[in-house]
Amino acid sequence: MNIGLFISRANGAISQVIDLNDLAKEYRNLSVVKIYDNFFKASRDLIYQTRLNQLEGVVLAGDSKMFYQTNRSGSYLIRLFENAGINLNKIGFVNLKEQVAFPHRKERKSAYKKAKALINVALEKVKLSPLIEVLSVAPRRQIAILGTTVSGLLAAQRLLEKGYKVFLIDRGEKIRDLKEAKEKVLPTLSYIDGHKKVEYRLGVKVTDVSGYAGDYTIVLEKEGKQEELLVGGIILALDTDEDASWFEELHQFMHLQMSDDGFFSPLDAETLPVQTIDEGICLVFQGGSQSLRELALRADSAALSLGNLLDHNEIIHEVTISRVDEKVCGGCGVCVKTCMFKASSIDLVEKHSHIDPRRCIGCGNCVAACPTGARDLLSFPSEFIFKAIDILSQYESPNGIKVLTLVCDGCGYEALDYAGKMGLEYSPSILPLEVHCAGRIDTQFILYAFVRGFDGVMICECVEGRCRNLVGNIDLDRRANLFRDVLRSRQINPERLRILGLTPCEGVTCVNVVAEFINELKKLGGESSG
Amino acid sequence: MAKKKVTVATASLQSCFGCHISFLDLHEEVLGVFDLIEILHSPIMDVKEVPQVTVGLIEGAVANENNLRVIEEFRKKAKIILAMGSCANLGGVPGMRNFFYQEDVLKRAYVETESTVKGKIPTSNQIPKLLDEVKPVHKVIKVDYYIPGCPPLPEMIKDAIIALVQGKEPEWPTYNLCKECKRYHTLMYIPQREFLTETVFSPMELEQIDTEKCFLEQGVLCMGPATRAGCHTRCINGNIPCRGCFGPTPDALEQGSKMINALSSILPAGTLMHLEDVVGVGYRYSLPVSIYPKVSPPKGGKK
Ligand code: SF4
Ligand code: SF4
Ligand code: SF4
Ligand code: SF4
Ligand code: SF4
Repeated sequence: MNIGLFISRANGAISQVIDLNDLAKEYRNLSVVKIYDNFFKASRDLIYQTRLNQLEGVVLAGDSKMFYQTNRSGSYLIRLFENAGINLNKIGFVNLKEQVAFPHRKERKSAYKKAKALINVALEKVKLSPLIEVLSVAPRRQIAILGTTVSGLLAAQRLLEKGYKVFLIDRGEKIRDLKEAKEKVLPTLSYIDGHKKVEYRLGVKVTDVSGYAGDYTIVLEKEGKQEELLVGGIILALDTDEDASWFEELHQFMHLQMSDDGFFSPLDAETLPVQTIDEGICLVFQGGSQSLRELALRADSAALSLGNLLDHNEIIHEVTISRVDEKVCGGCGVCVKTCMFKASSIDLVEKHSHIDPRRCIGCGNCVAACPTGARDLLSFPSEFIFKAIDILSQYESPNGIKVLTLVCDGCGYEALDYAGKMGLEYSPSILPLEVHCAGRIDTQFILYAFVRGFDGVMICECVEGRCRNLVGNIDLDRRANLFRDVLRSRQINPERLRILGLTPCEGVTCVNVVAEFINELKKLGGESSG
Repeated sequence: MAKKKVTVATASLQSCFGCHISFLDLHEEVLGVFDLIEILHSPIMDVKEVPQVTVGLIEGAVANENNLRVIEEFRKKAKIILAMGSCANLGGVPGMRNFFYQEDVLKRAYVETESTVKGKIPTSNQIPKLLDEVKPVHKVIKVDYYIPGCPPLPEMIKDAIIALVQGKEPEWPTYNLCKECKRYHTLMYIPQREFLTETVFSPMELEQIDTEKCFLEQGVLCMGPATRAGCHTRCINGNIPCRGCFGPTPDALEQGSKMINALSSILPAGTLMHLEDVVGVGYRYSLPVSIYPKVSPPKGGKK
């Protein structure tokens, strides 16, 4: 397989600590290895190299993976790679900046070794991940707005003007009291009221949402009767003061990142305040002390954002779900009970399980639960995780202690980034391995880490109630509770397994716990005994 | 004109002889097999030397120095080595010794057992020394084929031998036992996150076990989900839950952790922790082939 390794100096932030020229030399066997000052200013050359060397996979060693998700220049670069023929699953990320150079700036030797280990892991990921299929959806030009709040109504008006059909949905029987904004919003209200393309669904309960950008199904219930709405996009126009309970309800089937205050959080509070990780869902919350002007601006952004998306003739989705090997699956039903999203079912005739791609969000919980190994997660295949543990176990730690740190990318990964950005230093004994969700952690991984000589395993999961996959953290806790007996049975002190609940901004907590854990491991002594 | 029979030697390592019994059961069931093979050496025959044979059929786990010697000789003399039963290919019941340090095992066996008075650990060199780790045969010598089960069904032994005689490989299912199980479900296939039952029971505790309903739905721990199919639910037909003797499915690395992962979303985990020996059940037959096949070395590295 033709793989290219691109390394970023991050304008010096990385190259100050790690000798990148030496590092690059270690990968001469790859199709291409090249160092840049900054990827985002070098996209033309990156793509040129990709095409020239006919690359099938690339590893980007530099910035945090998060940057490619939450920042437009990051996601643009990924788009360019995809256009150049690289499958999304064949792009590997190594966070040399926040997770190596920043925290280990005084331990250059270890930083170098750790960088190398992490690059090796990313290379394996690119090699072992299957190609992700893409699905093309013709977007529906209909949008559902949840909440007849001021911001919801403003957004509705803008979308109607653009020619979209709008469903205005609320729990109350009437449009909400607009209070002091009433007078100003009156023209908006009468515009909407008189419009042919608006429909109201008031006094309803939203009981289900499934699908993806361009093609969602929303199930509403009123007086025992159900109705399905088919829409291309959804705007959440909730009031953070009034709708706390509605958030909780919606969180059951809308799997968005949660913020620290318990609401859904946008991609970036400053630069992308209405966009979410789901392209087809926008947030125009109101509440607190926002001015009408601010609400109007948000409504504009949301209308623009969804409009841009749904104006396309097709939307391409990467299908990052789990999959079943039907030769191995015996139809035991464990995955059906595990899946929070009702995405798993059993074909009773063939007696094997089936995954509904419209519902599966690729959380990986069923993959961990499946007792036969019939299930695998396309984006983090088990074979890769075992291999990664192997590679990380070969790292030579300066103090002799090695800790495998399995980080959920919804909290732990970001917390480590945050610690790095804050300039906190921690021991290079910590070897992070991203696993997407704590619920994806198969206890086999933990046992494997111990047999490969790790002194401890630390798992960063989201704090209670904050898992975007709803139950990933709960299921991990249950598994770990039973699993501690397995450690005891091998005379491994269960204290060597540490589970830490985190929110993305708890970099300090994370670093403190790491220090404390390493001290404890030192006391327990080398080798995984004691 | 009699066709030349396939020559067979059998051995029994650390085992209960149950696989041999299963093998002998063939006699009544399928007489035909013994027309195909000729046994030249076995523990029930008084033949000291192992002759050259086509098939070496090995029962039992490798647990002491004598076992080592026997299988090394078998590897030299037999063209095809066939590991028969859970002990031989998973480590089996004797493999549970790997949960303990050797000195503790000896102390327990020779000194601490309740019926022992003034016991002492024998030191005679007539007794083969225990190995530190009980291993399945394939971890010591190359095994060509295997038959799962504790013991394997007689017809599986037959199928394996006939396949080998015909120059084919014996094939076993790759899915779990639930696929073969005929018991019905009411909750397991419904996508609801609630646990199947409020508590768990050991089969002895229940006055009555529904003979038609899935054990898990009755709160009884059944290893079927984490166990390879092939036995046609032998125990379940007798209204006893599966204990996992066929070992993990080929796609899982081991049974113990895998079963824990699965149980955590179907039975009340807290109750399981207190009421069931999840480790004992999960690794009863397959500890020596699990990811962490024996206790960790004691601190300081000395054994
Ligand atoms: S848990 Fe695994 S074996 Fe059981 S039905 Fe689901 S995919 Fe099949
Ligand atoms: S990956 Fe998650 S959403 Fe998909 S089937 Fe499995 S448990 Fe359900
Ligand atoms: S596999 Fe079972 S029947 Fe065969 S020797 Fe071992 S314990 Fe006995
Ligand atoms: S869990 Fe046991 S009883 Fe239930 S279907 Fe599977 S094998 Fe049968
Ligand atoms: S039901 Fe389970 S324990 Fe019984 S024979 Fe079959 S695999 Fe072995």
